[in-house]
Amino acid sequence: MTFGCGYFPENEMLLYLEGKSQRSAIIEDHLRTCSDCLGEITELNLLNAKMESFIPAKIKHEPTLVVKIKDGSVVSAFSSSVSARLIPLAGTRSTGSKGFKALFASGVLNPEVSVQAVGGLCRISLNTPGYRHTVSEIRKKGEMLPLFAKNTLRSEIVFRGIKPGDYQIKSGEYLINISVRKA
Amino acid sequence: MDLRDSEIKSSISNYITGGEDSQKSLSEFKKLTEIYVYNFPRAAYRKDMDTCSEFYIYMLERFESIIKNFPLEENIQFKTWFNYVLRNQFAHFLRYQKKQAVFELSLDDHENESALEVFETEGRDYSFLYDCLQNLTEIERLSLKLFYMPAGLTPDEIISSADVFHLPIREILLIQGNIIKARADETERARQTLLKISYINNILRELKYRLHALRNNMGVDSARLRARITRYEASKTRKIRDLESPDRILFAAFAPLFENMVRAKRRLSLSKKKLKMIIMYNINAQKRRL
Repeated sequence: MTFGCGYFPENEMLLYLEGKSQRSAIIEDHLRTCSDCLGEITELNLLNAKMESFIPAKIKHEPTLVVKIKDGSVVSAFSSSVSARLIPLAGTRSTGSKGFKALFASGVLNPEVSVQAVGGLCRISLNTPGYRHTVSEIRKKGEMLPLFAKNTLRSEIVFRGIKPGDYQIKSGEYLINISVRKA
Repeated sequence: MDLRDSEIKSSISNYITGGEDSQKSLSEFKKLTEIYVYNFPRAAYRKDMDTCSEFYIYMLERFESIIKNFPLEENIQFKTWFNYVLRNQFAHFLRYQKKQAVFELSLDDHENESALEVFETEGRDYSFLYDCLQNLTEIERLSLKLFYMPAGLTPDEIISSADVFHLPIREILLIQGNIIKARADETERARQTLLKISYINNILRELKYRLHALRNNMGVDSARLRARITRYEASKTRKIRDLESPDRILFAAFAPLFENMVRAKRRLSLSKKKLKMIIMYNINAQKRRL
């Protein structure tokens, strides 16, 4: 990847943008004649300013969870607004560790979501703080009908046999976007 | 949004040099940068949350190759380098998405369904304002654009600004960046002040209602309530004055274009007045033509 017209190495141009370059005067002369380099450095300066002044909004009710699975284990987990952790699964002495499951937890009110890989499929469970009567459903993104819908009184709701893909889980007033990918 | 430069650099250094600990350093690097990467399309290009998720997944597979390319021996801030990398990766991602998109013709019968109405909001048309700006002198036009629309400055205008204000290009870029940041801070400050004013209004409403309920009883309680109302009213007036006062940080970011802050303010005020006159004259000319 070259910076602009490629006359100067990209690291030199980045140093210039930070005001640390030894060859500032030569670069200034070049920028006056080269529209490619000038365009790129202007865009990068704008990008730096925008990123620095950006404040990420906190999304309370619609977190996006991303999980990657490989060989019957969760390998990485990410969430846009709640904390995501990988928790080792206990195994027997003969089998050893059985990999990891992902746990997404936030405040007291939101349900705790855990994702476990079973073969090439997934087991998603929602844990709410107390018992409640609610309808919980999981649907593929963009589809009208849910894959599963449960009307339960229990505090834990489990969806088994979920294939990798993009889903939306709705449980009472909570809406969770979850994306399961194969690594 | 900030990135912790020293911590990220040490995790990169550990990843490159460390044998067994390299995976730990990589996950540490991911933890330190994931929110930044996730929000990049939204902050830089105003993309929606779905694009943010897709881009994050796309980047997840590329972290390892990206981290190896960071020039640790150079004295570059990680943020500057990372923004450059993310911009290039986002361009690749958009090309990759275009390739992946498959359009299928639906064979479902939708005859009996109600039709979906799509409303398009028109983009703002600034052509009239730009025409009026052309009637100003170069120094007036550039100072107004730098103060009010710093993100809208074209590369050619950056060169013109360097010539007009007798400053190096790098200085102009720095001032432009500082003004953008100061504007964002000012917006945030205004938002916070408005939240405080609304909080005070709620308290005042409750206190006034309680005073109204005590109207026949002019005792100690009523005097206390009136004193509290007066204190809150004074606090509200102070907050409104804060909101109306010009932002010093914004002017401090703009002033280096001129000799001092007084000259900067005078120049800006004169340019603004001249632009107002031109706009009014052009509106009247348009009306006369109609």
